[in-house]
Formats: sequence, structure tokens, C-alpha cells
Amino acid sequence: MSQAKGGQRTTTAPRPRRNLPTTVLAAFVLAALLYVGSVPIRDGPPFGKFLDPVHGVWAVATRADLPAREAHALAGLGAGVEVRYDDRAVPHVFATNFDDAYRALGWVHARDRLFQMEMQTRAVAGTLSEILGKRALGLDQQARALGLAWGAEHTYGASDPASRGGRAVVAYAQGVNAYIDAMAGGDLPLEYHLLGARPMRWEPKYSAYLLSRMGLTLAYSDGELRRAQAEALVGRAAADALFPENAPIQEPIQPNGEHAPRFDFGKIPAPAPTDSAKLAVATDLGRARSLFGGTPRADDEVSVGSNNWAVSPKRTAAGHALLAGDPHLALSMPSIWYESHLVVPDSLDVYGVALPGSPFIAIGFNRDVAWSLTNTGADVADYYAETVDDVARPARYKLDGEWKPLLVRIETVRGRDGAALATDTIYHTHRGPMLRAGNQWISRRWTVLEPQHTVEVFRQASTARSSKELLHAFDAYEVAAQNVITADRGGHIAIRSTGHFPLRPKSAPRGNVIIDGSTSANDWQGWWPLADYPQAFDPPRGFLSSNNQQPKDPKVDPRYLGWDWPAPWRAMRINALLRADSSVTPDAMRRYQTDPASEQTAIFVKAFVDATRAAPAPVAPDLERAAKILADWDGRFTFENQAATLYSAALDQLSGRTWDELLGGAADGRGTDRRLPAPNSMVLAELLKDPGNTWWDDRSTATVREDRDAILRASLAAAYANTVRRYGAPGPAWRWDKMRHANINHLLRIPALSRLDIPMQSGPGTLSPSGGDGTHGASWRMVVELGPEVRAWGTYPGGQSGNPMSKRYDDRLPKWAGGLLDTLRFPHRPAELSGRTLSSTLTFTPGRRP
Amino acid sequence: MTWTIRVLLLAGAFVAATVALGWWGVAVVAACWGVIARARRSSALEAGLAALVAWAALLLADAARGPIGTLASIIGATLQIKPVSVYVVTLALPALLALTAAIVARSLALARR
Repeated sequence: MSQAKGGQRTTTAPRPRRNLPTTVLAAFVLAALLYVGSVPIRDGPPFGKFLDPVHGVWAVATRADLPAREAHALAGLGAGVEVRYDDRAVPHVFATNFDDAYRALGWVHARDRLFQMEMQTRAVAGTLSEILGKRALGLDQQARALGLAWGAEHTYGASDPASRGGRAVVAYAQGVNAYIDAMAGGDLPLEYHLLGARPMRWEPKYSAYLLSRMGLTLAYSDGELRRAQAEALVGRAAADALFPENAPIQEPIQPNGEHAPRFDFGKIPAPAPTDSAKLAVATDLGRARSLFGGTPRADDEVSVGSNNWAVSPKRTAAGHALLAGDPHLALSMPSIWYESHLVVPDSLDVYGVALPGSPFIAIGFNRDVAWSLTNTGADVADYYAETVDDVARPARYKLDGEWKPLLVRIETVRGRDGAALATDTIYHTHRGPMLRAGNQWISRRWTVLEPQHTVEVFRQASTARSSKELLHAFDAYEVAAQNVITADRGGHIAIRSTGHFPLRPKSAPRGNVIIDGSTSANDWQGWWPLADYPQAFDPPRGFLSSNNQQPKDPKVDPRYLGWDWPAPWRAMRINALLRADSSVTPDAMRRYQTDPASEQTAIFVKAFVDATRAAPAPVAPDLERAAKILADWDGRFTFENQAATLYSAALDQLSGRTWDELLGGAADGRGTDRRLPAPNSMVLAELLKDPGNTWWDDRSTATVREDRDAILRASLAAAYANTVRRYGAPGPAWRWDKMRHANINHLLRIPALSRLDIPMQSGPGTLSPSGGDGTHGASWRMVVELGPEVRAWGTYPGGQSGNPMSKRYDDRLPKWAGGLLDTLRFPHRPAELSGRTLSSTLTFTPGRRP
Repeated sequence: MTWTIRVLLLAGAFVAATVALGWWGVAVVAACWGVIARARRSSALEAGLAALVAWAALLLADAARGPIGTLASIIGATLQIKPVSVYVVTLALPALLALTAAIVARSLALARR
């Protein structure tokens, strides 16, 4: 209460009782604010800390750009390290010894990609629920059932910590943790703020986890379980033809001496009647797949698309060897790769991309040699039907007539508050973890779960002086099998499909069926000897390439290496381009990476057009119109192309109508009808040569038996009608860039942090294929010229920074989408990066251990 | 001391407290102010306004060093609210926190007298 007294304003305290309602209301609001401010809401952050402009999410914006100069003390360093970021935000790490280089790299990776590193690790460990909450429970259970972390810990346990690779992993972890310790509020990545979480400590074994993760991505296979369903539906002979061991079109990685692709088309057996008993078992297997593979290898035709090729000096314009590589993987923001350059005088000078979480360059080049990888896709996972003592609670399994104890692994998944969300019991035979499919137990032996020495391999590759040395470094490489291509300054080129390939016994020679597990005679007998790996060194034809196709011509080596190989359309295309070009330039290599033509179209367009021309009169005007559009098409999937839209729709129709026999229902009536994955387009092309085959018949028309041409016409007519219904009459609305997009999701699938609907010049069978939901694509594109001075170009989708506020978060997307590459700076000395080419300098000095 | 200067000084205290203690610092300073200035009825309003000014100044400092507009858009999209709402919530939090903390502290101080 205030009063005027003698011209002076004084204040007296009011009586508290009169303000009681206000005070009570204020106390209530204050309590509510303190509660929502400090307690996490659902799986989100506490709002007080989140909104704090100094320590909360707002501070993230202040770290969008790298400071021009920065200095830190880094414990464990032997000497100072200078990191110069070039104008593409690529760190060039100049150190005086290996360990210091990798220690600094750990710091650098953590600064740009800490959240990504943790998410990848947790995905393997099955601990995503601890940070994301219950919504990640299913993923965690699958990761633990797969045994990824279990296998990785075996790998790490078997590694030699005193080896250079082992020391590098430890030094790298120290660098990551030093960054975490030095973080200020604004350094905490945005995602941690959104989740209300703090980064976990980085352990050296997490680098091994990452290798397990790549094993899952690249070498996981459960096709046997799908194939069992197909076999139950249409019989073994037909299943063998639909998912063949040997590709019907041969354009192998190891040159077979032929100058063109070979078409080994045979007759595809008619579908046999469905075997209900087998189907019931196979259906159980199909359901059990989900336990083993929440994120199985993307092995459908449009998701697989890695390429690499190398050209000898005799076929290049400048007379230097050229190498190109573009591994295709699931796309993510931030990108799966991180670009860096490590220099240790007289011992290491390597540039390339590494997976954040691993200290080693996986794909790249040094002053003498370049290398790149594509996935081999060999069958390195076999499934065994086991006999157990108790189907409900097994304790033993039968092997060679004796009961053997099962290894039991108890896995508890915990939530954000540390409480157990689920506890699963995983049983292992000597082969690996088991899954239950109805009354059956299936075990799996998988190379990914066996101890590996991959870390040492990539370290050695970094210092190789020639292609021969590079391949030698990969001698010890085990998982996931890769087609390693290399070129060197001496003008040599080489390729080898390298990794552990199981030697299977005569009693179980094929890995694409469920094997009898009751006898150890059916176990793997060892590994293929190196000399037998698919490989080539300086071939007479002057170039080498790999595109995930069957590596070796079965006429050269008929041994089983895998099955259901991707169609070699990309191999056919790049080989056609390279055969036609005896003066290849780096820019041509770049153009080839996004070449819009597909060898597939010539086969199918001709089939559609010929079938329409052979149609009995009168031909429907729309069908004639559709056939004319295809006949006039140049077969290229360019942005402005309109016919490509019709072709893609027609091919989808053709596949669906042809393989309708694979639309199987669960025999026991418990499941829902679902189509098994269709055989790939190479098998469809094979079937085109057999116009009367029963597979052409449409099962839904009981009174009519369709032949090839009838199905081709029906497919084209339906595709045209659907396209017109959806986009109107042929015109600009049919443009291919309106149809085919890349969709790059953020790791948490937050739309605002994702980059979606990016038009792509690619299609089925092109060198940069795309399709489906657009979530797979070229994860890194690189071209290297091995001249007196190595020159290189590259890019990847996204940017170096994991901070969405940074212009470096997505600055590379426009060039990536346009098929362009940046010139990669490869300085010998720090001083070569200055002025406009230098964006930031980070100096590390030796610090005290905490 | 004029009212404006008083509010600005108080805002400075909120800035210092936020830097040192985080968002809890707002409630602590406001409670102290409620006790110290219990004789004036407007002390709570002063605290609320000063806290708002303090956090607005801190946001401006953030804006000078980085793209907070982009950040507001991303947070808004993530929380499914308009970007401007992110600013409003950010400024409303310290204002309400300081206002209510000052009212409660002042009332308790007066009740003890």
C-alpha cells in the first residue's frame, strides 16, 4: 500500500492475507513451471533446460560455423597437431605420428557427428531405447537377437591392442571423449537437446560395433527363408529358376575373355502345385524373419547400386590410370560418410571417407594408389534346422547324435529411466544364434558374428604404395565381402572380390536352402583360398568394373558363391561406355556415374512395342498411343523425359502380372496374403524369350490362358491408363523429375531435418539407380586420376557438419543431385591451405590426462 | 534509482544467473528480488519484465552468433508449432517464472515479518 505523505511517496507492505489468492495462484504456477521445466515430458527434454538461451537448444545456433581459429589441449598427444579445414569443411589433420593423427580425428569426428556416432553404436548394441524410449524397443530386441554387439565384442576382444590398428582405435576413442569432456552447452548437438539426453562415453570397442553395423547392411541375408516360401508355393525347380545361383546374363567382375554380355537364358519351369505342408513351415519361417532382421540388407533391385571401375593409362586421354567409385547405401542426414585427410610425414598421407566412429579411411586415395568398394553380396549366412530337447524352453541341441548344451544369452532392454522394458533369452548353437519358427528352431552361421581383423586392413590400405600392396592389405579382410578396385600411379589397375567366403561341404553345397543341422558334416569347412577369389590385375581389355553382379562366370568357376545376384544392367552399361571410349577423361568418369541410360530398357521397350504391333485388330487407341510413346523414347531417364514415367509404370505392371503365382497366402490361415519379392528383372527378361510359358498366365482369369504378348499389352495398357488417371494426358506432368526423387531422412526421421523430394536423373538399371521410396542412393562419388600429382573429385549427399544450423549440413546436395563433383584439395603441407581455401584452423597441444 | 534502471540492473542479474546456474537462476534471482523489494507491490512485475528482457538479450546475443531463425523453424516444425511460438514460449518461461517466484517470495517475506 502506498501513501503520499509530506510530498514524499512511501510504500508500506500490504497485509498478506489480502494477497493470499494471488500468492496461492502464483505458487501453483511456479510449481507447475518448475515441474515442466525440470522433468522430461514423454521422451522429450525438460523445457527449462531446453529453452535456456545459454545452455539450451538456442545455443546450438551459435556453433553453426567453425571458428576461424581454435586451440585445445588434448591429453595423450605426443606432439602438437594442426587441423586445417578447407573451403569444403574437410579437415586436413597434420600430425607427427599415427596415434596423434587418429586422436585428433576422434575429436574432429565427434565435433561434427557425435549424435550420429552414438545412434549407430546404440543401434548395434540394442540400447536405442535408453535414449529414444519405448518406441525403439523392437529395434533393440532385433539387434540383440542378431547378436551384433555380441559379435563385435568378440572381434574387439580378439584384436591386438598393441598393434597399430588397435592403438589407433584407442587413440581415436580418447579424442572423442576429450571432445565430449570439453563440450560447452552450445556444443551439444541439437538432437540431444530434443531428446533431453547427454552423450555417452566412447569406448574403443564401438569402432568394432560399427563394422558389425556395416556387416548387417552389406552382408545380411535371409533370402533362404523367403526362398523356402517360394519353393513351397511353386516347387523347387521353379524356385531355383526364379532365384538362380547363376545370373542368366553374364557380365562378371572378373573378366571372362568375352567382349559382350552373354545371355544364358534357359526355360523357366512352370509353377508346380503349392505344397501346403511346406508352406505352413515356410510361413512360420517368414514370420520369424522379423526377429532376426529389423533392418535387413536392402537387396531389392533398386536399392543395390554401387559401382566402381578403373581404366588403364592406355585407354585414358592423359595416359594416367583413372578410378571411379560410388557406393550406394541407405541415405541419411547427416551422411553416412565423413571426408578427411590425414598426414603423418613420411608414413601416412591418405584422403577419403570414413564412417564417423571409425578412425580409418574406407574409400579414398593416397599419393600413390586409390581404391573403392562395392558390395560382393556373397552368401555368407547359412541357416540350419536344429533339433532341440524342448521346443518351448530348449537347453540342449542334438549334434552328431549327442546332446550339446546351448549357450544362453539373456538380453535386457532398458528404457530412458533405466527400467527394464523387455528381457529376451537368446539361444546359441556352435553355429550362432537361433530363432524359433513355429515348432522349429533355426540357427544361423554368419561371418559378421565371427572375429574380424578389418580395422588393421583399412589402416594398412591407407599406406599402400601400389595396387598390389593395396590388395595385399586386403588379404586379411573378412567381412563384409567387398569388390575392392584399385589403380596406382604406376599405371596398374586391379580388382578382387575379397572377404571370407565359406567352403561348404559336399553334403550341403548350397547356402540358399535351410540345411540339416543335426550333423557337423554340414558345417562350413573353412574359407576359400585367396587365389580362388574373383580377381583381375591389369586385364588386356584395359578396364575393370564391378556393380554388385555375379563376380565370376560360372563357366570359369562353377563353385557356389551366392545366389539371386542383382541384374548386371549397370555392369553392361558401364562396360559398354568404357569399351566405346579409348580416351577416357576424369570428366567422362564423372558423367558415367549418373549416366541416364539403362541397358534394360532396350529389351523391355522392344517387347512392349512388338507385342502391341502383333495385337489382333482392332488395337485400342490408348494402347497404340502408349506403344508409340515407348517406341519414340531414347531410353534415357533424364529429368525432362516423359516416356520414362510410362516405362516405369509398365514394367511394374508387367512384373506384378507375371509373378502373380508368388502371391501366396499363409497355409494355416493365420497370416495375411502377401507377395514374395518378385524375381529380378533379369529373370523377367529371360522369360520374355518363352512366349508360351505358363508363368505368363494371369491366374485371376480362370477361363483364359494368357501368353506373353497378352500380358505385355495388358501391362502397357494398364500403365498408360493409370498414368493418365494420375497425371493427365501425356505432357509436362509426366516429367521424370516429378516422379523420381531421393528422400534423405534424418536419423530421427524428423522432417525438418530431412531433405526430401530431390529430383534424380536415374531409373531402373541406370548406373545410379533409384526407385521405391528413394531412400537409397550414391552415398559417395569419387573420381581419382593417378598422375604424377594425384588429382581427385568427389561429393556425397549432405555435408560435413551434423549441425542442421550449419550451411555445411546440406551444402553438397545440389551438386550431388546434379551429378557434379567438387575438386578435392590434397595439400602436402598446412601452408598450402590458406586464404580462400582455408575456412578454419584447429590446433591441438599436448595436455594433461584428466 | 529510476524504475527503468532498476529493471535493467535486475535484467543484468538474470543474465548472470542464467549463465552461471542455467534456467533455475531465474527463479533464484526473482525470489531474492521478491524478498529484497518486498516493500514495493510492483517488485514481482519488475522481476517478470526484467527476466523477459534478460532472456531476450541472451537470444539476441545468440542471434548475433548464429541463425536462430532457422533453429526456431526447425524446433517449431519438430514440435509442430509455429516458429514464432518458439520465441514466445522461450520469453514467456522466464517472465512467468520470475513473476511467480517473486510473488511467492515476497508474500512469504511479508508473512514472516
